[in-house]
Amino acid sequence: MKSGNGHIVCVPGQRICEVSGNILAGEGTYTFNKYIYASLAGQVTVVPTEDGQVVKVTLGRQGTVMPEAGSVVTCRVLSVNPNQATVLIICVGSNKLHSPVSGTVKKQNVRDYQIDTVEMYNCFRPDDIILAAVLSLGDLRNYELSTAGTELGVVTAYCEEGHPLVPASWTTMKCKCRTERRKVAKVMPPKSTSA
Amino acid sequence: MGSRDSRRILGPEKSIPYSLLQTQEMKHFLAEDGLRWDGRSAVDPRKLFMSVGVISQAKGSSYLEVGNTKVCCGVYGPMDVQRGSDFNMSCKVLCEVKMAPFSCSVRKSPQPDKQQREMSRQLKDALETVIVLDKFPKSQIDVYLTVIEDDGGLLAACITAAGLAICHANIDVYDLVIGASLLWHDGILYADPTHHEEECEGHKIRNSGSEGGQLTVGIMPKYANGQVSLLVQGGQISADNLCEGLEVAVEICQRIYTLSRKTLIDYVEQSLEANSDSS
Repeated sequence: MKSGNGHIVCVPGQRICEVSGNILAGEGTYTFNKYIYASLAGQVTVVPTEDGQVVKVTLGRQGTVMPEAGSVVTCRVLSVNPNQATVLIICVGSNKLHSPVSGTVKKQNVRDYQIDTVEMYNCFRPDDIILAAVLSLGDLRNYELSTAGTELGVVTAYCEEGHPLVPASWTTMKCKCRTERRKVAKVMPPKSTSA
Repeated sequence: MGSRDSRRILGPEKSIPYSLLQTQEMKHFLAEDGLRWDGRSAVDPRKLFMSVGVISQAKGSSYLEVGNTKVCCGVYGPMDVQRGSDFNMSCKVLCEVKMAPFSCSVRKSPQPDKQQREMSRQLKDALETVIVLDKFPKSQIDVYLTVIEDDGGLLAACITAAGLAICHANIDVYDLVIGASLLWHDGILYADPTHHEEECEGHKIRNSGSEGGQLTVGIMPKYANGQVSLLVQGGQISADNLCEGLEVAVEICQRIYTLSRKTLIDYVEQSLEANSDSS
């Protein structure tokens, strides 16, 4: 592996190290025959975690990730009908997808209380930006998503006249001319101390 | 009238290129001093040039020149599968080799012919062994190769270009894949043949028992101590010669691998510098 300016740089196929008790293979690597090899061209970093040390290969620009069950994704709502909302997944975690994929939020996955009486049009509107969690890979076209949870739901929205809305409560957002109903996400600021 | 391409201005229907009517001088493969007509010895490969990041719209791209053969590759993906495909837990690879009409001395039709479709299929099989398919369920990766000039060793150049472009696209792969091509003529092994040499070998009327043929190999140099991901052989070659040819091919691939690796490392270091400048 070459090093320049103190970075360790590698190409796919290069052997990084041996798999031992506390050294784990992270993103951008694969294990074969008890060794960890790189699978991306990038910088090798070792990140200490509670389980041990995780070896990752990353390049400054984001790695290629696809949504998998449990990941939190950022989506734009495309259309809303009484049973489900169709969304376009644009980011997975903090990685922007090069080509967006489709997902759906079904009526029973919008919130975790009173799931039968959900009115979709009072939860999402087209062009809202929402945070959702991936439930499963879904079917061929769409991932299955859920917004049940306090930190999931609408993050950014515009009112019918085009003014930006700010959260006012769990179910309403306000702008300067009106109040609209949404399923609002409680977005935690980055350096919040836990309550 | 039915098969005429109405989008392009073509010559008269009965026209053929004049080069087919010229007397073809059969250049000797090896002159008396042991060199081929372009000055190489029988086992010398041609000069290489590689670069990545040539197509801005593509997720990853590469440009490769082997002698006069010029190939450009663009990789898109992983993205949603096309409508109408099956649900698959591993990724689909779609590969298309397109030869520009001006790439050969005889104009090629813009529609892919049998040779291009066959190369696309062989390349797809090779790339499916290299990419970590399980990482991208329900997705497909598109690899588009454009041949700008064909001067021999085309499939090998395509494999190398595709391998580079996929690495540039930040798609997980087991290893870099490199291609090499060889030719046997009159019992002598020639490394990295040019188009003229391939044609002369291809046109030779072969009696049963006489040897001659071509070999294209795609190799992953480092994965599991070296794996072959593509092997295409044509003609009649004995098993011993084939084994010897494979060893020569592996050597050529090692040389190309050094340049591929350097190209990718230069690109990574450039990216890292750009990121640290901007942050």
